[in-house]
Amino acid sequence: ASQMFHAHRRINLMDLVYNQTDVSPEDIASGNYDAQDLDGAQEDDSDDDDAFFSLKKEAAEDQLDRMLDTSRTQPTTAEFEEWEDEDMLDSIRNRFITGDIDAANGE
Amino acid sequence: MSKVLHFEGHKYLRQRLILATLSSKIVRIDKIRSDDQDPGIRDYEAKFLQLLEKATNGSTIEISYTGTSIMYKPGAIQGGRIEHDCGTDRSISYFLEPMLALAPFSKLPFVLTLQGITTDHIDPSVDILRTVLLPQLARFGIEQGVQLKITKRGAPPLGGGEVIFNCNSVRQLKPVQLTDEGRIRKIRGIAYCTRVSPQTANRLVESARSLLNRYIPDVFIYTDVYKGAESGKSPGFALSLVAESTTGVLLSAEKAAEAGQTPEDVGLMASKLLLKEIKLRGCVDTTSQWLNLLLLVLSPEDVGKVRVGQLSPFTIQYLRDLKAFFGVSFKIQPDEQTNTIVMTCMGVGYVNHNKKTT
Repeated sequence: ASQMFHAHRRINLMDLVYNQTDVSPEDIASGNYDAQDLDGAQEDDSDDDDAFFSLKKEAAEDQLDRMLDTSRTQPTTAEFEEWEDEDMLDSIRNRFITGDIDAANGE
Repeated sequence: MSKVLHFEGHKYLRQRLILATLSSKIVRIDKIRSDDQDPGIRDYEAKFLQLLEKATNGSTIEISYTGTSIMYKPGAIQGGRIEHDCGTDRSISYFLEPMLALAPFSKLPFVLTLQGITTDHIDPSVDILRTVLLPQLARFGIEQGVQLKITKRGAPPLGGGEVIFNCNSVRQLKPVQLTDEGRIRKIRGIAYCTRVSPQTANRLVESARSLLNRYIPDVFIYTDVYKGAESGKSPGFALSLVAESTTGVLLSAEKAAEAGQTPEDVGLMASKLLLKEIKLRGCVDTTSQWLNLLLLVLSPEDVGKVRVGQLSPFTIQYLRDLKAFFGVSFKIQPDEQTNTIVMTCMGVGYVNHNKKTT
C-alpha cells in the first residue's frame, strides 16, 4: 500500500509543481494538496477546503507579507521542540561518520 | 523577444527579475500589494531595482505611479565596480543572493560593495553565503576570483556593515551531478558578536557544542568578535553552522539573536536547525536549493542532477518561474528509501558571449 502511495505521490509532485499552478507553493510544501486532490471529486468538500485555506492565509497575511521573499524558511517552535526528544536525536546518528556504517547503508 | 511575461504579486520579485535578466525576457509584474493598506513596492524592493540597474547596462525599469506594477526590460549584465547602500529594511543577503546568480555571466568582473545589515533572522547571513553558496558556485566551475569579504559587521536595526564581493565571469558552466550526500564528517561554524560582551561568542559556541558533540567530536566554531568601527551601529550576535560530509556536501543552518534571546538559546536553536538539515539528507540545504537549480538549468546541454531533502515553498515557486523563463522543467523523482527528492534536468547550454574563449 505504501508503494502505491508513493507511486501516486511521484506523479503528483511533478504535476503539482508544473500543471496545477493554482495550488500555492506553501500548500505543496506542507502537504496540504493531498486533501484537495482526494476531495476533488466531491464539489462541496473542496469548496469547504478552499474557504478554510483562504481564511488561514488571511490570518497569517501580516506575517507572510513581510517574510515571504526569502530563500530561508522560517523555523517554527514545534521544530525546535522536536529536537528535545532523545529518539529524534538518535535517529540521525548514522548520518555521521562516527555512526554505524552498516546501519546507514542498510537503511 | 517581444513577448512579455506577466506575473502578479510582490512575492518572488527578486527571482523573477533575475531570471528575466538572465533570459533577456521582458517582464511585467502587476498587482504589487494592490489590496494592501500601503500599496506598491517597498523601499527595499526599490533599492533592489536600483542595484539591478547599476549591475546591468541598458535596462529600463518603469514603475507605475502607484507603484503597484513594474515593467522591466533587461539589458546586458555589465558588472564592474558597483557600490550600493542596501538600507536597513532587509539584510545585505537579500541583495547579494540574486547577484551571486548574475555575477558569473557579466561582461566585466564584479566588484560589488554593499552596505547595510550583514545578519538578520529573515535572510541567510553573509557568513552562509560565503561558506556555503560560494563553494557551491565553485562546483559549477565558478571559482576564479570569487571572494566575499566581510569588512564590517552590522546587526539590525541600524546596520552599518559592509561586504565586498568579487567574482570573475565565466563563459560556460560545468555540468554537475550531485546525488551522493555522504556522511557528515565535520562541523564548522562562525559565532559572531558585535557591541556586546566578547564572552557572548563563547557562550554561543558552548551551547552549540553541548548538542553537536554527542554526534561528532570534530566541531570547530570560530569566534568572531568585532570591535570599534568594524562592529557596525547596533549590538547583535548570531551563530551560523556548516556541516560538511565525506562527499563535500555542505549543509548550513543559522540563527541570529532576536530580542530577549540569550546566547544559549541562539546556540541551541542553530544546532537544532542544523540537525534538521542533516536529517533531510539532501545534497544541498534548503537555503541554496534555488541557486543550484538555476545553475543546473544554465548548465551545458547535458543531464544535471541534484538530490534535495524537501522542496521549500520558495523553491517550488522557483521551479515554476524557471519553466516560465527558460522552458525547462525538472524531473522530480522522490526517492522513497531515503525520503529525498532527485531533481533532474537538461541544461539549456547558457553561454556568456562577453567572455572570449581562451
